[in-house]
Amino acid sequence: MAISIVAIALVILAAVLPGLFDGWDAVPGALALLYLGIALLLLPGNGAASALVALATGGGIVGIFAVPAPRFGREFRPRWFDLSGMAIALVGAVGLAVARPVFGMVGADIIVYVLIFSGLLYCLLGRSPRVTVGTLFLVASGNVLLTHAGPAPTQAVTLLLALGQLCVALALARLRVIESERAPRPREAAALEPPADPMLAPQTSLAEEAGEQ
Amino acid sequence: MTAPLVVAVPLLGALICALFPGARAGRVAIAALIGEVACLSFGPSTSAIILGAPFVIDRTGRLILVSACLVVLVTLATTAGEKQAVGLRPAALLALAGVALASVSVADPAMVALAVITIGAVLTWALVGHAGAGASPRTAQRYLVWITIAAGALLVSVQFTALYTAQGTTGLLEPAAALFIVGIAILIAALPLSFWLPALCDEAPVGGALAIGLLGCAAMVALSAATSASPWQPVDASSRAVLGAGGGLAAILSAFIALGEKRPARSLAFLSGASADCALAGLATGPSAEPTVWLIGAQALATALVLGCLVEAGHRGVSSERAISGGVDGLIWRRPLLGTAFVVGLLSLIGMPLTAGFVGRWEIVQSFAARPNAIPLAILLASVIAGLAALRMFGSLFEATEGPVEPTRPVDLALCLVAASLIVAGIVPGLILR
Repeated sequence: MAISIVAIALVILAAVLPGLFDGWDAVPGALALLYLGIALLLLPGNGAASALVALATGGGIVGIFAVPAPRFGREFRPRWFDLSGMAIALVGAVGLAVARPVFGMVGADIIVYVLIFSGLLYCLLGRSPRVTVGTLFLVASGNVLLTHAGPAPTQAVTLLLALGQLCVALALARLRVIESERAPRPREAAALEPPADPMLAPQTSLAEEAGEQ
Repeated sequence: MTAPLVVAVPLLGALICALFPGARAGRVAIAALIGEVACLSFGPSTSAIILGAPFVIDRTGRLILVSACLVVLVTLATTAGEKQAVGLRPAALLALAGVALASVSVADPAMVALAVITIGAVLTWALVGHAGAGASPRTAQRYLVWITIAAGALLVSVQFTALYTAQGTTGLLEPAAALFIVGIAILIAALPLSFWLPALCDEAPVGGALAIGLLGCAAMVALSAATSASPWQPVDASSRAVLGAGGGLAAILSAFIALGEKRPARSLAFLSGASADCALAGLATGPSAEPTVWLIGAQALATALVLGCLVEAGHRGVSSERAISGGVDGLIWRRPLLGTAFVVGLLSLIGMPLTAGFVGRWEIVQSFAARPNAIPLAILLASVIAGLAALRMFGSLFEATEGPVEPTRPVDLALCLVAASLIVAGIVPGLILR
């Protein structure tokens, strides 16, 4: 039970992080928390093998999006309005999971609903970093779906799920690279030139002009 | 041994194409296609169990795989001479392997959904791989997001069905059915869930042809797997009526949009969407999805063919900054074989008789004949409006031109082969169905 609570907390934190901080810096952290939470959820019910596969997949995906450490300061502003929207989605997901449980396990229900709701929200309403996280949330929900609904998945299904997640991560990373290559470069700071507009030129008095003449 | 072979052959071809890029990769890709068809035609039919999952290929799976091979043939033929299409060949073969994996693992429907997401992710490389001629990152991202949502909907539907079967949990069948329909509708680009296709066809018509072609084949697999034993099949009559009416109306709307669309690639995308909506309306007829599967296959192949012909005629994809170049003016006189293939593909897309597209529509209309309703009329009206949209392209195709007749190229023959398959399927469908 304690492990499930920790897993839920990690997944919720993973869903909140991109909503709080917009940008690519939050993506690896969110994904790391997500897969750690999924691994903790799979550990007691499905064994160490399933948890290790989830961790390995998550490690690979986090590695694909690994970026330099986030720069604190002006560029790392929290977005409180976005967070409030995400909070509404999370509350709705948790409420739906408690009111209409599907899997019979509160942990699995909450995590699946949180991943699907937050994933859809980020996919449909966010910019590239959030769309990336949202897409991976949707795919990662398959980890819990396949292990908690119906019979245990075969090795082929487990392998294909990991492969699918890695393929999606690689595709999103490629789009990120192409997007950054095609983005307009920021203008370089240049020395200020004297304004050509005569209205902005240093004013001279009429007496001085008359004296020159 | 056939089941593992049809997955392994394109995989091996993709690996070789990726390791040895260049002109020779095109020949390797064609050889991989020929090997795939040979395995399908002459391979020994025995089942195999790999990593705990049973793999077997049946008659429907063979038909789907042949359609997928023809779609990949269109893509490879139209990009044979392009140096920047190096990344597209391994991606196309990888996606073909994904369709093969889905086709041979129908015993486990979850594999189909996972194969769909893998195919979608791999095709993203084909969409943005062309240097200066591929889709924009935003369009490719939108495509990947929608395909992920489709695969997720299919996976949730499959798992809800499995949960109901295992534990008898109530309240799962209706969401399972709805999510399944949503997933299929996104894969076949049925309006209003077709937002990923028009821009894709406009910016990267080759990638769009590959995407709609192979994802249509994957949808055929998912439908075949679901109709074999799904507890949500006997859905109440009112839900079926909504599905049928919605599909018919959406088909009419999509055909209208195609009529008003000026860019040829976008117009073809909406015509494809109209055909997809007719196929969705066919799901309301009853538990048998064979007419819908047939129509989806005809739509996928015809769309890939017309987009391939458009590319070969000179339309290389446009962005919002560049001007439109049609390239189909007088095509029937400049390159008769290419123009004929384009005409056949367009006729099949709008459901003209003697084409594969007509057979699917006819079967769906026949199944509605038992009870009077307006859905056959909606399908007929959608076909008429689509025909008006196609008439505009016919005008450009048959426009008089003073240019000389260009020599026949191998790509013209390849596209004519695909067109011939649509004609044969339309004239003697029993030859393929039995």
